[in-house]
Amino acid sequence: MQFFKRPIAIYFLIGLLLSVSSCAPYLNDYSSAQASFNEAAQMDNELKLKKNIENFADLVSPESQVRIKYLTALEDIDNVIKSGEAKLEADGLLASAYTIKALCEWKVEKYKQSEATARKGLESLAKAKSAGQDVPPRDSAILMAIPGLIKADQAAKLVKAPAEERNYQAIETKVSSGINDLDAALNGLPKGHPVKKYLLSSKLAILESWLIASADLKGQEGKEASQKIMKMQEEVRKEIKG
Amino acid sequence: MLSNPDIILFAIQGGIRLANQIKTASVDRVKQKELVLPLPDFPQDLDWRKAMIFFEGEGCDHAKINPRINFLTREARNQALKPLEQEELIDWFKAKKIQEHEHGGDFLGIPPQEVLSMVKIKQWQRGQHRSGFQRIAGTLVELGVDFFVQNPGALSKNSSQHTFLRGFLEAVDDVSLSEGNIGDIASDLMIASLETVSSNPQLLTGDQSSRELVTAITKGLSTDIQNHIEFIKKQGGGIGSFSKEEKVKSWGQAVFRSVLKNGGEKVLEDPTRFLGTNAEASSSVVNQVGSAMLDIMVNKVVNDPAKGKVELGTFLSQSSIDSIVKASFTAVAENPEFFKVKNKGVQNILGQLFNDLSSYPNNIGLSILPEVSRLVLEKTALNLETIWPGNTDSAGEHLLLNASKTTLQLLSTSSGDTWKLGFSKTQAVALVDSIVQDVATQPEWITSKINSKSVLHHALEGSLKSLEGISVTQLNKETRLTVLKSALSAVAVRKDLINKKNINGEEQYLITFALNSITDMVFGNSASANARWTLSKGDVYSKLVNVFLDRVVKDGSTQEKIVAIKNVFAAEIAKLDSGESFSIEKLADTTV
Repeated sequence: MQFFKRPIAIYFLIGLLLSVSSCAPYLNDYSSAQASFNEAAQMDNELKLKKNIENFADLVSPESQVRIKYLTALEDIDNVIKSGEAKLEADGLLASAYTIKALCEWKVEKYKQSEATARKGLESLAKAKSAGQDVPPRDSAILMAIPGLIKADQAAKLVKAPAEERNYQAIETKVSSGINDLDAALNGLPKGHPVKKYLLSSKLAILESWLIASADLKGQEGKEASQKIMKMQEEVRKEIKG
Repeated sequence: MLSNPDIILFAIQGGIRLANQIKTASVDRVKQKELVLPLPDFPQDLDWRKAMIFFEGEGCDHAKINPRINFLTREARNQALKPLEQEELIDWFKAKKIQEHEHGGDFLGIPPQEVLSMVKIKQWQRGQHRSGFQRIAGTLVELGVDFFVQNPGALSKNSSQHTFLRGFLEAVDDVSLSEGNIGDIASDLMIASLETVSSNPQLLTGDQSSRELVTAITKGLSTDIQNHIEFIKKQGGGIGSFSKEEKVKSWGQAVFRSVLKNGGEKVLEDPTRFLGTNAEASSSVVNQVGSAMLDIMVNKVVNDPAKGKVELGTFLSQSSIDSIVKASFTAVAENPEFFKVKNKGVQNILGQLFNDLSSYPNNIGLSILPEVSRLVLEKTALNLETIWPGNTDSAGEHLLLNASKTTLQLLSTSSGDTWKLGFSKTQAVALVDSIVQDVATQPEWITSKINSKSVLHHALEGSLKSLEGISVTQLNKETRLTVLKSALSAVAVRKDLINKKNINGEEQYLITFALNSITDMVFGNSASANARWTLSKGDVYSKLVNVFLDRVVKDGSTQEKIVAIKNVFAAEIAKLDSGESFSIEKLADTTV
């Protein structure tokens, strides 16, 4: 009878709590993968903005360090999805996991895989929506924007090529398509959503590639083309500043 | 009445419900975490194309007024620039465009700090506003479960841990912490408080006062920590320095432990004094200590020879913090009405002490800051009106701060670039302790001035002067300390000992002359080997000095009297050479 006294019940309760609460190690793995990704993205952005360069280690180039971090984050999130897809889906984290994975794949130039992951992510969101669950706009917008982000990087690479390899038309086509993708993602967001500023910044970046490419156009026609793009950039900046 | 199996089943169901809530809270916490979005690539290299576009657009005014730029820009647009001309156009660009590279590049016209903040995105769903407390509840529940597993008895409703936890959660629920800060701050404080209460269970009982104390301290410190972090972010243009923020949180945790432990002892002895009817005023008294401590740790900067400019918090151990906090609470406890009104009282004292002590190179002052803070605060506690007359908004008018500063300044000597304290840290603190006690009872040591310097300054200067001529091998630091104290005791009775006279062609204090008289008899060239052998031992020398100065106090402190006393002592000391009986005690009574 002593067994049933209150302190024992409390022990039982705590034991139960512990056993249930310990059934979510995948949450820790997911958090860890996200933290890895955030670290990679932070370094990447700082490198682009030339901030805190002195914090980068000496032996490996900053660009390589960033790439290594993205590869690590990709491996981590991939493992989480493989081992816990059902749990992630049940807890409404699957789309976020796909978002992180797609972003990592984009950054390590696995463009086809990135677009495929983005499609999977959008499918999971559609499934969640039809099941009556809330669909987080952040992940939805980023997944939609993935093709545009990929095209932004591709356009930048084309612009950086030597003069004899550059083709203005190819760059213009790439940029236009990328802007369409980014606009589609922007249109899907509620007013004032913070992802808008990020997508607009990405649009600014792809326009910059177009602007530099327009320097290859001769004469007055070239000048007018450049000025048209500069105006577009100015409008985007206004939208960002709100 | 529930049967025993019912109790078990009830516990099981309750456990499952609670476990689900924990799980939901944990998932929610994960969902709320920010995602940092990486920027896409764009052409950043500075080449002739970028330069040309600049001079056609934003920098067109330069092209209008500078024919060379104009020419190069037109040539560039016609794809006709030679390689050297391309370089020249780039140089013109560098000369005319704002130097981005010195300040970090902007992102296509958007300031970098703005960009870095806009790429950190949380999940955002319209209409779902959750309070900060709701958001961090998952974290706190997990921490609580971890703790109570180790301490199952603490789950009892009347236990001190339960009371404390209730008080803590009420505070966190009430404080408006910002999105980014709440999780970390609340978690850190919860860990610190659970550990403190566990190791000091006697501190908190299960009553209302304990709960109110915990609530007051938690609210105050978490707000302070947040304010410091927000300030750091503002200074960085919205981007915080991660390492500095982490330091603030760590120090906040250390101060919280100390305030809870030491405050608990003081405040709960007399709760109505601290936690009286006016809750806001009362809690400000309690929180003043934590605020002051955290403020000096974060904002006071030390010039460390190895590390450069470093915050004071880096140098203070948990025990140093405890020492200062405990003494602060003593000061506040004795004078709660004063500190209630003068909310910056403790902060002013600690801030001034830091300013005074940190000016000594090689961190001499910092190593004794905790001890000196404790002495000053404890004496302040007992003698507030005496030792802080006049404008109490000015820490410079605090007599004990003056006294400790004067003492340490005079004890420090420099030899080229090297500074020494002249005494060990313990000895210096002991002297400061003695002086601070004297000043507390006799404020004229500081308030009375001669040639704009305090009596204490003259007394110390005069006494130390006489010790300069004796090497440490001849007279150890402990004995020097005793000599100093004796000299100060003599001046306490005979203020004229700090008068200066021209003696043998040299302007010197009478106290210096008196001490030199003894030094001469024991260590001087005319001192015999026997005299030196007997009288140079630390305890003997101290006794000799005491008796001599005692005679000066009794018989007179003029130059002539001192000489007369010296002659009497010299005659007695000569007996050491002649083999006659010798007694220092006899010198105490011999007529001069």
